[in-house]
Amino acid sequence: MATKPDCKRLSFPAEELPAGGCKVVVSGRREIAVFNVDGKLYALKNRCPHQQAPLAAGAVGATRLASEVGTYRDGLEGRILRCPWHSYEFDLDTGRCLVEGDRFRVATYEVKRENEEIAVYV
Amino acid sequence: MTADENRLLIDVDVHHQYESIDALAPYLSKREMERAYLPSGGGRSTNPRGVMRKDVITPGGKPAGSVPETMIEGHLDRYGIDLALLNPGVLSLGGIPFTDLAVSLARATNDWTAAEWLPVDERFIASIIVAPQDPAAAAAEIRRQAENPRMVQVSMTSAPCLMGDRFMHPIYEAADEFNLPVNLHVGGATKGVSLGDYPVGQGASFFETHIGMCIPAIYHVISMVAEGVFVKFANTRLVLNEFGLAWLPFVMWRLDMEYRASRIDIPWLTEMPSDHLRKHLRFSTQPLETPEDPQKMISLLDLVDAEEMLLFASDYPHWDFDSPELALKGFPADWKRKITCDNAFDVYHLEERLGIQRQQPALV
Repeated sequence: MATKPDCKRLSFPAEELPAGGCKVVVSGRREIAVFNVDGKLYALKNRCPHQQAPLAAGAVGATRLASEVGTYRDGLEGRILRCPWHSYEFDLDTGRCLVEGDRFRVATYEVKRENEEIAVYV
Repeated sequence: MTADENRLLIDVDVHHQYESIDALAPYLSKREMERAYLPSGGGRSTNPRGVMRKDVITPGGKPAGSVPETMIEGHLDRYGIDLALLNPGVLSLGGIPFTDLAVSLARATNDWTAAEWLPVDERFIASIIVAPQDPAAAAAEIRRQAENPRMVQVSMTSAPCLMGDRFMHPIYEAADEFNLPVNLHVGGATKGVSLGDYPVGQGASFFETHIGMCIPAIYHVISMVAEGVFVKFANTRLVLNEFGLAWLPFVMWRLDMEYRASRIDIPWLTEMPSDHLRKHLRFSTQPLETPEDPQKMISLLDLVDAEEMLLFASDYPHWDFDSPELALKGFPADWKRKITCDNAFDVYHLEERLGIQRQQPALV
């Protein structure tokens, strides 16, 4: 995602977000949850679009892909954030809920490692 | 009552029944006949005011519904019914604990219907009754009867487990093979081996029991969606008779809500449960809930786009009969046309099975 010229850069020391962790950064009244999934960074608004639960408290993991009846197929490991309240699943990459993704979508932000810092552009 | 004078009128729930169990004698072996009885189900409240309409008088005082000519004159001719889907009045069959007996009765009842009812009037079409206590035998019976194009659905009166359970799948597999909808009819669920209408206790009076009969359908529908019956057997449709309609918005919306949260439990379902149900679930209308303003019922059904899910039924000759002339009073003409004809044509594949058109040739 290209950095928009008028956006604000928020940063914190990279050591504050080890792999497997989540850190919340605040910009005015907005909270952004930054996840480090095995070195891959994701930044999403820290509010579930369903009932505004804090997504930073959710678990990151896999989901089950469409499968034949009575069979199970795990997939998208590390790409799925599960809301801490109602278990809605969101694709960390797109912010879209796996069910009714047009209706339930979390804002995502550009995030990258810049030297010893992690920078979020909001 | 059809909105369009040229449209056929189809009644999807009309009950025919034996004068007595002796009617099955030609269709049962001597051994089977010796043990052929219909258990009463013990302890269940039945209607103390009688199950049959009091005005259905048959020659010789035979039970209502047991004489084809009386049904033809008093119902088909009286109301201009073009097709009447016969559903045998053996509501306890699904609960009979003696599985061999239930299987024999189902088979004999189907043979009796085909031999003694269908030839009497071409307006009769019928259900293949099966004993869900033995799904393999039920599937065999479906395959045996399905070649008869006038047998247009598979019918059960209760199930020994939730209907989504894989135990039941052989029935849907056979129905799916022949494009036959599976019908669940109210009434048998409290009897014998089925688990009962009230998970929290048995209602005292018939007043309670008759409402509680609706509740198992909600469980069965949820189970069939969750267990992927309609994913695995895509041609399968479930037709519910007499379980009420007004709970549909709750079930649809609640299923959608749970799906957003727990889709991961049923990954084989890839569409919203409400859309899934709109495709695979049908309701016969009787007994239609009747708020004072019929528009409220229409609005409620419209909330979940249910107009293509409804099939007109009278339940003749039972006491809670809905008159074909009045049941859909207040419904818009396009709803009536679908409910009394088009939806039945589609779900029972009447054009393909019977080679008839939904529109009568215009009179010249």
